[in-house]
Amino acid sequence: MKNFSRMLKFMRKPGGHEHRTCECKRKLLAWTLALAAAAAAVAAAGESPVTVFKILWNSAFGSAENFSYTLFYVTPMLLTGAAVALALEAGLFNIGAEGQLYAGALMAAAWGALTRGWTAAGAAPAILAGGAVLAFAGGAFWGAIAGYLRAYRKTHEVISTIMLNFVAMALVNWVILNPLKNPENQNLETVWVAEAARVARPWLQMTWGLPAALLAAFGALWAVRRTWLGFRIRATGANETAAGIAGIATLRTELLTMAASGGIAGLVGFHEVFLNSYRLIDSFSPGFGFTGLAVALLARGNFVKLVLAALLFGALSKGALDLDLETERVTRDLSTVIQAIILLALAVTAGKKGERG
Amino acid sequence: MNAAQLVGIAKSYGEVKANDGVDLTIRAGTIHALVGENGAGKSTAMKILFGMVPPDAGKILFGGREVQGRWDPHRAGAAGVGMVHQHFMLAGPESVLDNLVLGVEDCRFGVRRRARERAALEKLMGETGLRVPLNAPVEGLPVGLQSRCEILKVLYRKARFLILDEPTAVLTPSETADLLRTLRVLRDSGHTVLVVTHKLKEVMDVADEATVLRAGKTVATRKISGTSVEELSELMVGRRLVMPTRASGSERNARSERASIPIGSGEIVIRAGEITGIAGVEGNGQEEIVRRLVERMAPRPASFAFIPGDRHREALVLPFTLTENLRLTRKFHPAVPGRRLFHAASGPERALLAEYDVRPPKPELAAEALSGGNQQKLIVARELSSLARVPREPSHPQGGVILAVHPTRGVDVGAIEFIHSRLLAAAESGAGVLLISSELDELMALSHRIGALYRGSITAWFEGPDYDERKIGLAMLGGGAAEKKSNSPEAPA
Repeated sequence: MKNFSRMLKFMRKPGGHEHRTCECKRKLLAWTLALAAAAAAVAAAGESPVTVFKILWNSAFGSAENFSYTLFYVTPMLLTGAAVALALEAGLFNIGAEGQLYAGALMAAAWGALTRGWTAAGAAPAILAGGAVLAFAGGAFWGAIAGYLRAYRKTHEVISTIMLNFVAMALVNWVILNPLKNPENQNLETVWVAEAARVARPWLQMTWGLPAALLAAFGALWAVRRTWLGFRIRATGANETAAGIAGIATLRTELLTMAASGGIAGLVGFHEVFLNSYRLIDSFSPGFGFTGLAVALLARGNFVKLVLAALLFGALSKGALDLDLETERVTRDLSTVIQAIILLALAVTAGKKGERG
Repeated sequence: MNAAQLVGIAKSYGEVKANDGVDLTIRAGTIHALVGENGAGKSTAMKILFGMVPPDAGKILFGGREVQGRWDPHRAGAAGVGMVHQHFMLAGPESVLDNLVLGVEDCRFGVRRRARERAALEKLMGETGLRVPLNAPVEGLPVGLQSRCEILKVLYRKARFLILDEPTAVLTPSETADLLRTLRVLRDSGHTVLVVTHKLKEVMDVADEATVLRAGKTVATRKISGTSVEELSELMVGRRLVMPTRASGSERNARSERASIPIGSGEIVIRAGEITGIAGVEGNGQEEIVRRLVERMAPRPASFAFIPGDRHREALVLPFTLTENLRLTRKFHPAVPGRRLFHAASGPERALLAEYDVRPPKPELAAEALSGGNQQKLIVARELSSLARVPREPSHPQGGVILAVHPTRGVDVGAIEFIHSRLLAAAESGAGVLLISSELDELMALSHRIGALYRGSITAWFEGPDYDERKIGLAMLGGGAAEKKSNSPEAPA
């Protein structure tokens, strides 16, 4: 355990230890506030907050089946969270993880359709490797568009990524309805991938995506802290002018970071197509890209916090499913309300301008 | 009678003792100077006096009475204390009038009575002789007028006791003279003024008394009539200062050209082993010179050292550690064996911090925690040390090119001495230095040649070592015949 904590030490930001106690208090206050506000919302809707929280808890952690389902939700959130966190290090606000994961899914589904007939003995690893690379490439390309616009055309990435989200989703819709449509039924889905390439789940609802996503997220955050490329990304984000004068190609770094960020988000598409549904289903993402934004903001570049934040939001997403069934007056939207309240409470208590958490 | 007093003030930030026994007595109706090196605790003492920071120990007295309870800027303002910040607190696009009354607008039923505000301000300007154009947007004014706006702002709030933080840091010589005159006028009309500065010449010029801080402690308070710049600087630094000056360079025709920058109708030639100084009032084309040289040097070679004029914006990544800031340019240095990974451990950086006397020499500290002078030393360390490692290629037989823009702005005397000696040493070992500065003293002490810059061209070149300050000053303002347009050796001197 000690070794592990030493391993993670690099995740900590330098300096700023003086405010630690103060910050602890502030965080506690934020969480208390969030819980109280959520409880108030539930009470206002006419349900007992205790009952509702119990339902949420049981639905997320109550049984092995439920917990494995939660872990299934955690997987894409880890990836999109890491993607957004990476872009944040370069001072870029990537609101486009949603579009990037659809772009990745599109590439993965196309690759899956193309390789559907592959039955040779060694085909499965080749299909999977190709799918992962292409999903990454698809997301990276989508991110790179916004990166290029930001770096060389001075178009703000918040605007361009939001717009690109719509384009990606529309593109996926078209692909599902037209070239890749599953001819066997009327569902809005693409053809299934080759049978050999359908990776089975290791435990109930959990997929192999979880360990892979953990690894990818860790790798991304490690690289930002520990490689020269990461140093360049952080310098560009912290002071673009000084970094440029010091000789760092800041524009290229921005483009590259957006591409890498999009690529990581694109892996969610690979997860969906090869590890989960084995096909691309219309609107498969309930907004993983946007949840990733919340996860990244909670994590602030720290891997452990990233995992915890993804777990929290995964649990809230899973818990929400049972709210519809087991209560009369609140629906799954309450879970979204709670997520929003948590973010707001943390933002409000995040401290003075310029202080870092 | 004493206007204000600090007694035994102590204040620590973490392990750093910013103030550790500061005593300060400011007599009413005087101009009092608070001097000390960067990091000596001047700013902290000033902030405590103004209530921005509570002291850990000690007493604050105003008008002879000890301050009870929490002392904050609101109470200080109510007690007639006004603060003029080093970085102006003005809303750029708004008019001078709006800026001056911001926060204390004259309103009735939520509607501004601008005519009354204007009348009050006109009266104030008449009484003090501080005139500003009330309708002009602030951002269009010269810096000297902006600083005047800041002073009017606190006077409008009925301040009787003014605290000025490095008021002349960004002013030209004539604006500085103006400001000092203003301070005298204020004193003569019964105000008390505390000037926090490290420019001893100005202290000698305008102050009645000076208190010297060193390492967080008051070391002495002197009447100006009974002291000298030498004594004050010795008290500040704790030792005798020897300001370095260049050795007189004679065989300059033999020196090889390092770079040349076309400017106006002439050009600036940077030669190996020499410091070429550019004198000029700010805004006369300094930025253009910098831009052209930096563009010529892109992509940035290791043989180019650049000390930018704005250290916070152009040179440092403030939230980064000292190590990270030192490494900002190093990756691009061919002589450093390419380490694949970025490590937090920092042996060479520690040595560099010690060599360049950056205090505190803690590699893991964030750059924003350093005082201005130490930040500047950090930049000099980074830039000059990477130059020192440049292999002596045939094309660059002796070092490279150094561009230093206001290298000692807002830096205390000890650091100035140090930075000057480093620049001279770099030139001596063969680098070509272009020094752009608004401090004539600095230029005259270091440069082999000084070009006077006026409206985008060099109006005259002056050869060292014996300069005529008056002539250079004249040429900076466009006066004086152009001696020659270029400093290339072919042209007869």
